[in-house]
Amino acid sequence: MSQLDYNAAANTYTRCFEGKLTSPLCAGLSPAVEAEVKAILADKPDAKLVFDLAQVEYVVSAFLRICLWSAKQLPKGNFAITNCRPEVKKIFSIARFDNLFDVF
Amino acid sequence: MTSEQNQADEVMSKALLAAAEFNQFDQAATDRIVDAVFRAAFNARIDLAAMAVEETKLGVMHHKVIKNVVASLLVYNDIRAEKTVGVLAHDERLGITEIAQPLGPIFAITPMTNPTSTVIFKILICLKTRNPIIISPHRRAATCSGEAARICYEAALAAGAPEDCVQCLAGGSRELTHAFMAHPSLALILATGGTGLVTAAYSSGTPAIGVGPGNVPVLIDRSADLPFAVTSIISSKTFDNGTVCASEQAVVVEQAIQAEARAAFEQQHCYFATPAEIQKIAAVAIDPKTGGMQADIVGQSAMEVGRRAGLHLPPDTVIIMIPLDKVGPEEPLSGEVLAPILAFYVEENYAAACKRCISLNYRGGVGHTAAIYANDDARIREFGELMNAGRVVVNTPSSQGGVGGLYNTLRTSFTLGCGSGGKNITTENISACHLINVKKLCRRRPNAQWNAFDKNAFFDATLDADALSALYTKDF
Repeated sequence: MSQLDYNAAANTYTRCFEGKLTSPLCAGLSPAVEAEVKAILADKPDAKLVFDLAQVEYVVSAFLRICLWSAKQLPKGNFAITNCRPEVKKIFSIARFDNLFDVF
Repeated sequence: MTSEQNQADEVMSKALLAAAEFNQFDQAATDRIVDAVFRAAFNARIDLAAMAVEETKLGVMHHKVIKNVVASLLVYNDIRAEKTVGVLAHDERLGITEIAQPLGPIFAITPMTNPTSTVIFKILICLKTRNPIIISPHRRAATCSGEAARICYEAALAAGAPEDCVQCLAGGSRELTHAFMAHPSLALILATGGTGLVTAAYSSGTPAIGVGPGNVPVLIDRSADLPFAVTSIISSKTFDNGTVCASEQAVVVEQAIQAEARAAFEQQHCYFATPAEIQKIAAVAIDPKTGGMQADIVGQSAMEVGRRAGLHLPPDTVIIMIPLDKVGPEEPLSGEVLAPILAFYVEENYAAACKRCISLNYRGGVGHTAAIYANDDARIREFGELMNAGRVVVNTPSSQGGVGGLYNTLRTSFTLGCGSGGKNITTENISACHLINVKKLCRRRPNAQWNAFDKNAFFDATLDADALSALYTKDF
């Protein structure tokens, strides 16, 4: 997991992920993301959070839960997935997440 | 929103996540999971059988073990080599490539009569097709069904399956069942249960594969090997105390062989009830309000049925034979009873015997199963054409014959399609192949005949169908 980048002009935090997001990996990711989201809400409650999945080729349900949890914490419309491959985009569609937040 | 709706939403959300993850599995990863589940279920076959008998108080422990073996070993062998992920087939000449797409979350209703075997079977075919499964067990078998599901799920997880790919409800109300069946995220209902439940599944708006009721007639033709036929029928009807919906419900014989047939049954501890005794049995076996079988008679032994009816049956009676001469509501025992109670009809000749079987077939068992014992191939074929049944088994115990894989090459299944007669979409034995959306990638293969035809002819009002057909097929 890369650093959490902040673009002040867009008031957007971006987190890049890569590779196969497996269950063991997500077990470590979950508390880290949770802490970051809480920090964002404390510092900049109106900021957006974007997960960049350009380098992600596989996601387990645990990662989908991380996305769902993050989206629910932030104000509606402030969470999005970006740059995902078609096969990963389909996973979000099957989970019906594209109704909950933007998946690009 | 009701609490049932909330509960259904929560379970369905988990199932959708499992479906999403499952979609990324290749064939090898999928097969590893199925292999692990088979092994775990097979290894638990005896304990699960004991639990099932203990909890439901019906059936026969050893036969429950066999059911678990069939549901695990035979089903596994039936589906193990089947391609269910990615490209299923490609025909270069036709330009068609078939690609598997999982359905999505499947709601599986499982019965009291086969509470662990049906769970094992449905989990195997769902996981083989990368579909998450939500099991709704019969309330009188919730513990043993839940344990079967737990064993399968833990094995699946250990083999890399998605979390929540198997969920089993602890129990629930009719409202909860309906909340699941009508849930917009549900892909399919696999309903094995009573008629009401199956009808509710079909009425839910979600695609459903249900199982119609049976009322299996078995004709013993004069060309049959009679001792073989009688032994076979007894082994089938007594299997798990008659709980299999494909089990024989009525034997039909010609007058010419009735004495011999009756003697053969009696010799093997089948007791022919008197008219007075038949009334007593009907009183305990049939619900007078519905005309259907009493739930608490299902899977009881012949001796127990006799005890409840106040009869003094000969010791070791295995089946109570019910001589009848009518079919219909006026003869309650001419309908389906999932216990070792077997109607017995004697008819003047083969034609009359066939007509009796048709009446039985259409008394609540349309589309299910019928059986014939004969060595006359013409009669076997004729019987096959006359019966409205998904399976017409020949010289075969229908309980085991209907399930497939033991006495014939039907697909091994605990969900037997009953066609339109049983309000089902198919007459096939349901298996993994029914749980896939098969996409067809269609490459361009122009229709030369269509392209060569002058379409202006379609607008010529003087040309009728015959004239157009002649033009269309000219030179082809």
